[in-house]
Amino acid sequence: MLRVGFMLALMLAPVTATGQTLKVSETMIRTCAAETPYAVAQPTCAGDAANICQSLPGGSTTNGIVACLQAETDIWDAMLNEEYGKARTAFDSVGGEDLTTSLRDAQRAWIAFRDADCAMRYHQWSGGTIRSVVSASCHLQMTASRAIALRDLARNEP
Amino acid sequence: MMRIWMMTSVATMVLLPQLAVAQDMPYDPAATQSCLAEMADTDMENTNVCVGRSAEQCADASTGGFSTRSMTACMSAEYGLFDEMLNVEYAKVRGLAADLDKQANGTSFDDVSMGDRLVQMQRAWIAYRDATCAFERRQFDGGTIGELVYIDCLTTLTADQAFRLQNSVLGL
Repeated sequence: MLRVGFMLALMLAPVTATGQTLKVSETMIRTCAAETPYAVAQPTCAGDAANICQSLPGGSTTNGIVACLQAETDIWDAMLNEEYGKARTAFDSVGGEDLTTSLRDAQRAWIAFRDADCAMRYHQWSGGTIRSVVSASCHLQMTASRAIALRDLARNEP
Repeated sequence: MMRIWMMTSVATMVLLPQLAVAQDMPYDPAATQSCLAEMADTDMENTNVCVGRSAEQCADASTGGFSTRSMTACMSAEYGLFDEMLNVEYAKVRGLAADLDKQANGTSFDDVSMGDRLVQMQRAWIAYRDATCAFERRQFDGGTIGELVYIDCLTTLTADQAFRLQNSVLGL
């Protein structure tokens, strides 16, 4: 099973300094995914829901921006897990365990790549609090990109 | 003519499939390169649409026309183009990371240097690329189409990574 969903849930509880929860529109994010064409590497509408969230009370501070980015990432992550599950089922029926093991290996390797990539960007901005925004944005964009890639993999009908 | 190993720098290191390259393979990188140049001015986000342009022309112009075999040979040439581009971009970012480490002069909050973070990222990318393309090939085990799917996957991911390094790492 994927560890990514569990890990993110632990890491990314979207709570602001005031204790209020900053919310994003799940419908908006799912619409973004649905409207992203086949084989597009990076959905251009990823991040829009987090931007709107930032106009909520408490959303414009560094912590608020990060919480909004994380709230949107959670939705993309849920979609990623849904698409991964669909891909597993689809490939299990055509290729059996060999293929689903290979898919799992690829997904694990992607998780390690995402972590290393976002850690590097965090380091790059080590001079200021912007680093946590950069890192949260990195997770959001990579998760969105991967959710679309897995969706298109399961379709597998170019 | 068999193309077996293509050893490159730490940026890519890949074992290419053994490809029977057609003698007359008319690969010319111009179509892909001019597309990239045009996109650089207008639509930097979508440069990936250029990947494979020259390979398609090459396959069409090959003796016997477009086939799995001609496209595999042509795409391996296109892979070479993007592998080189990735190595160039990676070298640039290595230089920028070294500058950043020099500026930080040991004052960074992070025990690991930017240069090491970059190397770790690129190694993780290599593992991701290999696992992903192995999965894609496995869907077509035993067939020649599997070799085309594999080289197409390597080319696509290599180009994506070259664009990522070019556009967003340390360039902000």
